[in-house]
Amino acid sequence: MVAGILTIALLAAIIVSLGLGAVSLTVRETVSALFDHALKTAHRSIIWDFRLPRILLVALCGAALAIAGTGFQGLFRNPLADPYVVGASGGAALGATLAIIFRFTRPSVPIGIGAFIGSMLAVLVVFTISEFSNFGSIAGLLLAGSAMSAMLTAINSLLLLMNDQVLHGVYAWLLGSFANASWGQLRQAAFLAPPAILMIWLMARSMDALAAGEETAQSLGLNLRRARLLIVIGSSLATAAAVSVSGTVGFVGLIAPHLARSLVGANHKNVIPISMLMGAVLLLAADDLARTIMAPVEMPVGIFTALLGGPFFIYLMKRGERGS
Amino acid sequence: MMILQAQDLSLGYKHKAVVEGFNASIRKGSVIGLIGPNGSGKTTLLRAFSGLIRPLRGKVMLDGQPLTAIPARRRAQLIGWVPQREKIAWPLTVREVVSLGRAPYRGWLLPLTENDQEVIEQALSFTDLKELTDRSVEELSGGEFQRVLVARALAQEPRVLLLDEPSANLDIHYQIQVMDLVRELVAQRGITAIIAIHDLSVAARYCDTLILIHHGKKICSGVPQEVLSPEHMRKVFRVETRLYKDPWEHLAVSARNGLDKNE
Repeated sequence: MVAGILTIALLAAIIVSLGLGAVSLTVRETVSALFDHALKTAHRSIIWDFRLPRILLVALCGAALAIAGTGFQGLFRNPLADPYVVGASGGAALGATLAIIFRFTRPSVPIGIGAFIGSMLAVLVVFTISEFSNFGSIAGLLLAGSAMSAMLTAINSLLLLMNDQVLHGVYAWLLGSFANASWGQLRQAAFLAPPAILMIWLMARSMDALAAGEETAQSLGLNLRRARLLIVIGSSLATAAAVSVSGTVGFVGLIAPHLARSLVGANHKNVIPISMLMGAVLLLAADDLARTIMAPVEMPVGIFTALLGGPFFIYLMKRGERGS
Repeated sequence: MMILQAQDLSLGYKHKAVVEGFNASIRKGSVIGLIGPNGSGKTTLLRAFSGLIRPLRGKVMLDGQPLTAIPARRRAQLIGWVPQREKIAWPLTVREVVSLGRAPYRGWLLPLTENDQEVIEQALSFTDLKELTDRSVEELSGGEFQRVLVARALAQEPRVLLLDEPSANLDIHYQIQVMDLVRELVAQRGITAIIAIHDLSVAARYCDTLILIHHGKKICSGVPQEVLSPEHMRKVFRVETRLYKDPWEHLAVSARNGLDKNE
């Protein structure tokens, strides 16, 4: 039921988003440009060459960020975890930057793979630190994550300043933007996202068990080490899928799982698909704002997700305070 | 018939032994109480019996098999663990939490089988949770939540049930309810319950056998009358005690600090 409504909402959001832009199209014009092969107008080129890859990429990245957020929240048992908070985005960005800087050396690493490796290493370090911190699990994760993110961002900036020939392009990308979306980028993200989604989906029941704590999960027969590793890999892959094409876009991964839980309950089998749909719709809406609010100048989409997500984060913290 | 045996068991964290040279044989179908002061090693022993920690030395035998040789899933089918307290990270429903007890029987993606459903329903009705099945566990009282944890362990259909201070955080009404529930389970299903208890009167009233632990070593074991003798209690808890039958003929312990001047 909820899934059906959200799927329709997503399709509607895609159609509306396709119509938005310098040349604005009605829904009817958009649909005919999409499906009428005989039509030979500029509309067809606008839709197929520019807007469609971008819109699909935005939706896919929104879903990927949501799945990463669901995975990280499940792994850390922490409602404040998301790819940004746990350092995965920062790690992915640094990995991607390194891949770009060294793209002419041989052997070179594809950007997506660089992002994946960076993301995974960052998460593993943050996870280890927060496990052994004396601040309790939630505070420990936030502290370790923000320290890690600050450090990764600093290294990233340093690398960019030392390699100023790539500075401009990379910097715009780092802020989080879909301005350079293309079919090529969509292919890249579509290569990383499906295995990530599959892995997190396979871990749905393990994450339910993890909700009861690591000891209980183990007493229920869960192979803790394997479950954790698979969740880290899946979430890192999803983060890399998004970050390698759109830079660091915060808060979608934080918000989407919470909205999903409030709609369909906390069972991960339900949370996973619903949060993906949520993430896609959210990011599409944010990207529409980014494209249109100051048109023809385009804003980084990360600005809008942060404007939405910051207050949400504070709300979650207040709620957690009351609960504990 | 022995279901669980501890042989020269030494347990600890990072090679600092918490329990040393512990031996015990636990008979099938009985209720065993682990008693001893705080920090004496009760919880550590329970964790070793559940397979959550590996012994530094010695071994735990379950039905004649070393526990460490039993795969995790199989172990979870044989041993149910009820922790002292637990925080469920997300607002799962009562039924969802109890369903987790079927995890050791299920494939990765397969839905619950008819048998699974039946076992879950039984666990829910046995623990008197039928009316709360779709409630979020966040909304439950302490006693209700404790029953959910017991129901989840029951859904595992274990042969050994390990309970860590199951009544410590409960009001008196629920303390009695949970302990009655455990006795009923042992009587009806022939499972074995091992319970860490700090309340000596609860231990005296509900357990067939008590094991007294002090500084990680077993002081003695046996029927409550023997284990709860004034000499043992003086030595371990540094209190003067009297063992008596209360007006309902339950064995009970009364304690005071220091010696009575008239004696």
